[in-house]
Amino acid sequence: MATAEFDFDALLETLESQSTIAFDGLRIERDGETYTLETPESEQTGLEADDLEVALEPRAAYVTNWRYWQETVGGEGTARRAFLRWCERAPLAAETDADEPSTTADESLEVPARYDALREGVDREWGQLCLTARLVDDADADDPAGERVYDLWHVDDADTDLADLEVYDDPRDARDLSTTDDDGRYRPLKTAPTLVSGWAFIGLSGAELVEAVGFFYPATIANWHRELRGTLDVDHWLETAERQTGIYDVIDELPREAVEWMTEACCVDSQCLRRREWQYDEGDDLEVDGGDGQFPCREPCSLVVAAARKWTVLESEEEHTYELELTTSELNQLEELIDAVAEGRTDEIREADVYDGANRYRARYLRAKRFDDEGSLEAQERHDD
Amino acid sequence: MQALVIVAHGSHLNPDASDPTYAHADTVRETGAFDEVREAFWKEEPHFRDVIRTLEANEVFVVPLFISEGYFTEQVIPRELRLENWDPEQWDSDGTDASQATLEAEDVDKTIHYCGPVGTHDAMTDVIVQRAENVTDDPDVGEGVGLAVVGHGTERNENSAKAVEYHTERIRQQDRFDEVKALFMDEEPEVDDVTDYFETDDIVVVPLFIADGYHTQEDIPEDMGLTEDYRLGWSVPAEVDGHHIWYAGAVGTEGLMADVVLERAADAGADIGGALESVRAATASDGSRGSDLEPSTGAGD
Repeated sequence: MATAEFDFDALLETLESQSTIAFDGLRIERDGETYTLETPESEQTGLEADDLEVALEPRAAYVTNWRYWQETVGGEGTARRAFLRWCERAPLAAETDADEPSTTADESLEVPARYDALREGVDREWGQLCLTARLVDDADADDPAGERVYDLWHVDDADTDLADLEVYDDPRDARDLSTTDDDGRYRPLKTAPTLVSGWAFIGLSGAELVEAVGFFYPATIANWHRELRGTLDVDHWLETAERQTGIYDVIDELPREAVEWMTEACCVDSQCLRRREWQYDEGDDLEVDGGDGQFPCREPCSLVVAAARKWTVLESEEEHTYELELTTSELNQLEELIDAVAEGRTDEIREADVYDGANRYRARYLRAKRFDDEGSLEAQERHDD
Repeated sequence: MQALVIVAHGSHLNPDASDPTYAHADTVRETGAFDEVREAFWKEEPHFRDVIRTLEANEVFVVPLFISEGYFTEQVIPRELRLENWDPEQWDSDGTDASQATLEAEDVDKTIHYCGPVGTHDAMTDVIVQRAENVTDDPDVGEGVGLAVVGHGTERNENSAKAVEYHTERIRQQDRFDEVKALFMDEEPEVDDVTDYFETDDIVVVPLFIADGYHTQEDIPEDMGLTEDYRLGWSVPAEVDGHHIWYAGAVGTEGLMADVVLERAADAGADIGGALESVRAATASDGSRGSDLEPSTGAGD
């Protein structure tokens, strides 16, 4: 006989085959024909099957929670399962091999509190993604009680009415959504903080959520999970550089200080949402901060490798001393120009804002004044001999 | 559980470079033959380096979406996938024979079947022919028509020319087209002089490239004289020296490429059930994804 909340017969069948169910605070042991039921709230022993069913009635959440994780999600030990548990603030300790509770355990929720939260929706952020885990609220006969669904949208759309968002249901749509930025420019780095907003995935299954996140931020879940378990395999700069062949063979010649500048240029939070865990070499940390990203960066990415090749060539040049005529304000303006490009704010400078050194008219004026007929700065290399 | 990973070059600059990879992966996904299907790239994400760890399956079939055996398939991909004890000798190939090697990777506990590139598989011959059918909109194209299969040439790798010549010879043996020639971008016989090599009025030109980019959408059309400026586009067919040139984009964009991917995996022992039949039905001549001849810009890197 099945109750409205859960399939008691299925539970009994499981207890026939494995005699103990222990999951997320629920513990049921079978001893012959009697059962012991234990939850954080109470313990009852010597229960007949009928008594067990009655005793479980007010604790149905524990049973449907067990069913959801063991049957719908499954995948014991997988990154997918750990990620979905993280999504609803379920305890993760069981998902790690570490003896001590994981660092996120302090904010994890036991089943009754978690179910209360899931009825409202539990929000998590993953890069620029906002993920919501929630219980399926309709009493659809197809969905067993305790079934979860997941919504996914841009963090900037957290307060946007769903009616104003483009709604998708195929995880593969994440590929198109993540291809270009707001200006229509190609995003070769998926974890750049330039993801467009204005869309939502509603009612995804756990597997679909993981797939969609995998298209937005490839391999971040797998590497986060490795980090959680203490098995993240970090490849530092030197290892990665020395491994390269072909046109990238040269990058291990990039000076150490240039590697610092490179990480400051490419790998900080304003440029990439991964948290850089790789250093110059094992035991030889870079000074630049790795950032606060939710998920780790385990080795220099292909963009860094390609850019490093350019910088290796540039850094092989000798330095010279040049003389050029500039007013103090013009020198300041050069700094403003470099800064504006580096911060990507040239598009924000207003047409008539001639007080900004990176204003287009200001730049054109400086060029008209200081460039020669060949279009170069009138700079003289200084020879001290 | 078994997984398929399609590994391709990808691009930092051109968002279209990965389109064929995604398209063929999706076709395979629809068949349900694999529990998991992933795309992985040298220049995009997931990178070769990280892709295997995203899989739950223990049995992984890696199929390179590359035209020929060479630097990428023999060195870069196996190194980046961390394939243990890989040696190109395991493919026992003279340039076009690679089938697969069964290996383990250093960072995961899985069996990895590392397959030869799609470009040298026999089924690729059919894709080239189907490409000719699609670009001419004639399922029986052949009689009175010449076919040029165009390759990069030997710039970095002699096997690149071998693959082109291999399929050219196989199509020639079908006795379907009046003439079949292998032409190259950077060696003789050159694609620039395409009309010198054919007697037929109609010449179908199929570039043996994986993705459309600089070579297939800028270089080759201009070199053949289809257009003065690739940005202006070209007609299909285009008139050059009294010949009609039917120029198709990269063969790798042809829908039937998914069939070659599946065949590679099946040759390596993947259980693909009836997937081949469903892919062939879905990508029959009229179902091509690849006949969009709008010129696109962007280098391949």
